[in-house]
Amino acid sequence: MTSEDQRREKVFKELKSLLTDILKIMREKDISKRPEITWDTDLEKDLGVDSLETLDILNAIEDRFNVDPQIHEANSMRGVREVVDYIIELQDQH
Amino acid sequence: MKRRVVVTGLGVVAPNGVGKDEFAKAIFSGCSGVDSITRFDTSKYSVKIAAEVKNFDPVDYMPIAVMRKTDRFAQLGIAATKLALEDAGIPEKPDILSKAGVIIGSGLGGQNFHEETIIAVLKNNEPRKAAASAVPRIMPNAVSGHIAILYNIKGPNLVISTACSSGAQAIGASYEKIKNDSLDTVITGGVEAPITEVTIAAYQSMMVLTTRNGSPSQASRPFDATRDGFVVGEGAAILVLEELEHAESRGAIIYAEVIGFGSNCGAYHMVSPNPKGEDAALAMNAAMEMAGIQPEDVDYINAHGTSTKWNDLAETNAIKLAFGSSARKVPVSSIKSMIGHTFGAAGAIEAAASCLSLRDGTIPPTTNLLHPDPECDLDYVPNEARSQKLKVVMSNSFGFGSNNAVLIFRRM
Repeated sequence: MTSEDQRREKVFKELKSLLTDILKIMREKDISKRPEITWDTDLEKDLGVDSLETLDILNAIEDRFNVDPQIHEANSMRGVREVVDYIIELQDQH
Repeated sequence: MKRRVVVTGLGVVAPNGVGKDEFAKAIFSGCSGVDSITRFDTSKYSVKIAAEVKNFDPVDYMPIAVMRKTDRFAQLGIAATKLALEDAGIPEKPDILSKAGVIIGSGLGGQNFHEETIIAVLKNNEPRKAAASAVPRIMPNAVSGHIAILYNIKGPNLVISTACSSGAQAIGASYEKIKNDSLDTVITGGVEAPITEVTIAAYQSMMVLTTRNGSPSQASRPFDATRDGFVVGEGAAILVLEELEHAESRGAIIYAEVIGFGSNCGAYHMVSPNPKGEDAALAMNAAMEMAGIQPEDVDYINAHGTSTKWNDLAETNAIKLAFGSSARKVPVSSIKSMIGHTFGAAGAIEAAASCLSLRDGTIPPTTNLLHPDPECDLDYVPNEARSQKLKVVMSNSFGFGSNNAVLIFRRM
């Protein structure tokens, strides 16, 4: 695995933990109801993420990765793979 | 000719039974839904019991993404709606739903999310901790909005919030909308999920809750001299109301006809009922007048019967005022003895119970009535259900703010 791959893997893991936290069901202990997040997950089609949850996810990405994601760019982004790439792009601009 | 309104579907999610038949079986057999609170740590609370809905998994009634975005109160309402629509045979009739109304009662809205959001923000003064999605989770019309979106119901969409009479007010408003307007179908009822830390604490401070923690199923005892307050309950009931010809034309099964509705305000006190019961009596009179019936025509009163001394006495006096010489002849019972007080859902769950009483010819008992209060001297159907031919049932609901709502149902 190249260092670039390792970096993407690290961002993916952090994003996965962030999404699992935001998309959790209140007071639900049954782990089968947690969202399943893979590289190929489509946030809208697979998990039903709507525009408001997108805002919550952007806020969390901003805090967790110390970047400044733009809502107009994020709105067109639905795949986890795309989001990971976007975070890395923002980190590199930083 | 006046348009007539009938009940063609019932969906009940109650602490002692999910689904209309399980619920009917429970209330007619005196089965309690009250137990120790499992939802949060009650170690610092003097009240440790409530009537939680058991054996209920929201995912059986809605997509997981909807479950994630909804407070428990909305989940209970969505589930009851699914049950009611299936019962009415409507899910296969999108043309009916697209023109239907949704009118739901809820006293508190999304209290669980509200408390969670307040803690997140105020704990360290961090406004960014308020989720963008918080508002549509908390707002009371989250429930009616989700119901509309899930079933594509495009008529008037309302939530009525009048504390403990919300469910009955919603059904009454729906009845009037069908009777007087062009609406043929309304999905109506009441929902509440008040078993939260702050809600229980606030009612505990008000000294209106029983602390009979050692014997949960005997804690709610309406009209009993040894009562010490009510039990908080959660739940939902949804009724499908339809214009009679509309229901008949599609061969719907009809539970009952809604024939009367009385709604008023005692303008007396924010939480105490008028002990003489004058305002509640006027609401009962108004409902009977609308129904075109006399007190002796009422076969059974499903009481508000909270199990507080104030309510039980005021309601007893109100029935005496409204019913005169027939007050002692009409059976009166409170299912809050079994399911506690479900606030905004209560009027709707009790309306559903009234329809089931008419269907089955059975009056549910007031359980735990072992030491009759000398000041409450009507026939409260103590402890055992009663089989009786029923034609007309009255359902009383009263709420904080001196709010009164009375519904009357008649067997077809």
